[in-house]
Amino acid sequence: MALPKRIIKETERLVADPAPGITAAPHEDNLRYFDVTIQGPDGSPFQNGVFHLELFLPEEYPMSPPKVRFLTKIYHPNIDKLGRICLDILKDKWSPALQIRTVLLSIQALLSAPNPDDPLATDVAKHYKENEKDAQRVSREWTEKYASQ
Amino acid sequence: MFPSPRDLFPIFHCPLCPPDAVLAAPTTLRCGHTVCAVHVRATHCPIPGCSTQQQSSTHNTIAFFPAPPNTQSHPPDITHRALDVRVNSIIHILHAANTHDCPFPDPFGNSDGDSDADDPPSRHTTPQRHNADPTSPPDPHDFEKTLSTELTCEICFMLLYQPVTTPCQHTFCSKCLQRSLDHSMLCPLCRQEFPGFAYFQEHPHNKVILSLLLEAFPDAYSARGDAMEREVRDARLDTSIFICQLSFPGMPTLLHFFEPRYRLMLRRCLEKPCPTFGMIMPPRAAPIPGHGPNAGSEFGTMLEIRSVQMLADGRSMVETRGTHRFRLLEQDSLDGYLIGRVEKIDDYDDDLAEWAAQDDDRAPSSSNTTHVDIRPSPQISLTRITPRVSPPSSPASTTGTPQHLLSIPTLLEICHTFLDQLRAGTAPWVVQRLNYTYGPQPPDTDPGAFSFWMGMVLPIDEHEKAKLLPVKSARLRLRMVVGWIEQLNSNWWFTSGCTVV
Repeated sequence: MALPKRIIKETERLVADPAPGITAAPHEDNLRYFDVTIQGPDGSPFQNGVFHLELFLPEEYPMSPPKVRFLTKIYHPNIDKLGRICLDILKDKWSPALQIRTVLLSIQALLSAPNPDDPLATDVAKHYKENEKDAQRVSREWTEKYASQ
Repeated sequence: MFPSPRDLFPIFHCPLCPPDAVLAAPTTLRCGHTVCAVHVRATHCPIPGCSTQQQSSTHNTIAFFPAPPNTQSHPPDITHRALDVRVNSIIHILHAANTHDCPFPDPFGNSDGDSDADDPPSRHTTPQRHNADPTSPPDPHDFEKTLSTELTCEICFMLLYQPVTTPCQHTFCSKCLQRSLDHSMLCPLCRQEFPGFAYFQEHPHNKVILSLLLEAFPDAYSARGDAMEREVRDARLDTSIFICQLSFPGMPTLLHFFEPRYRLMLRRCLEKPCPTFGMIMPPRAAPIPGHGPNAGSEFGTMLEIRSVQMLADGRSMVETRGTHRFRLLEQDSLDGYLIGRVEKIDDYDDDLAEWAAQDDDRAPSSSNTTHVDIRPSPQISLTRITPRVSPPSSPASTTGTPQHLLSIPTLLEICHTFLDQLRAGTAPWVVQRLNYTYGPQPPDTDPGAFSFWMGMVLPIDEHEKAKLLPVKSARLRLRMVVGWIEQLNSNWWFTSGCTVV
């Protein structure tokens, strides 16, 4: 079916005026499927890393949230080993006034502020709660190993 | 030429203040009127002559349960006196653009702080007054652009169309807000809980914003409406399809719409003068080998909407009646539901008995439940009136089951005997189905309708019944029904003969 105007506008803006540290480009053969990169925020264990994600706009977008997943391995209490992200705006706190840009900015913010009290990867969360320093060390190692360009 | 700010100010005059006074701390009420918050005291719109009572619906097919609200049942939007965020921002823009050619007394005093608090982040582009550099002339193009940004819907990202304002004073296109309500009862911008689905039924448009749209962007606004209309009119796949259950022409079906995508589909159907949609069965859980996963669901029945009872939470009970059968030729999805191009299926005349009789030997045999002929297939012979090349003289036709040779009256007779048998008390639950679910029994003079009715009341698998849909002859359908009756009878004989513990 035809792509809704809103998706076209969002795509244009993402390309013309990208958010700092974030890129998103649609696939040529499927304009609802985006290749995304997010730079690890400065000051976080993910600094200097470039993380690849996939983002898909379902049929009912923007009434339903986009589906987003990390493709790059990441050691983070709210992201599991399949790359799934625990973030409220991707689930029940979604609003049609949010958009691709705001979603990606929220994910970037999640890298700066892990929330081990609402974990998806329980082992990582446990590590973060019991020994944050050591957990951050592992996060840095993983970033260097999997997310360096 | 784009109107100057001065031309647009009259739109923002408060109807209750002395003439030419611009709205101060504007609040938009459910009736669509915008007034200064100070005027709002009672539970009704303070504008004389404004009827805040719900106007009667233009669709007499829709009833709302509970009845649509009046302002008395929803006082919070009045007592709250929130600031209409969008109207307020626009007044600021007008002032900013107007400062140079006409110094205007600021009617807000220090109300700026309040207005910014409610502004969504995307609208912080509101230009500040050009006080810093009073010599630079305002760019009229900038003014137009700023205004058009301010009049963009945060859901569809396009120029507001038929704007409505929520109790929390956020404005969206009417259709966008409706869709959002299908999914959530929270405001998309501030997440405040809405008073209930019924509040937004027949929600009057924000009169001030609508006037501004028509005054400042008349072409873009009407183009928006035209585009929406054209989308519907020119759609090649123009039939909405509801995947739910089996229905036949003439049958009443009561449906419950609760999924967001189907609420949207229902609303779109109801915008048409004769609201109809197609219904097909979901595909079988286990596909039959040799037939695609959708086998059997390419045929369905068009339903006309008789009445809609909408509940307060947005669900609807929809009373429908089957009008005719269709075949789904092409399909796609639209906002989560199926749309398609369909071809109407009509019966041929059973009086053309000659060739119908010729077809007897290869006509669908309902007693053979997996027989390919009953299945939808392009070469189904019953659809053609062309004479057959070879005469049906195979030995099988002479030894076939007797029902092959039966006429319509005889077939009807068998059905009636079966019905009488049920009514005599063998299976009272079936009689209940007959009486309440499927409407009155069609007369024998309409064997086409009777075949569907009879098929529907039989206690057999729905996918089996669906085989009646593609068959274009009432006689052949009756024969299939009689085949099922014979099967049922033999089953009952079997089960009553051996007591299984």
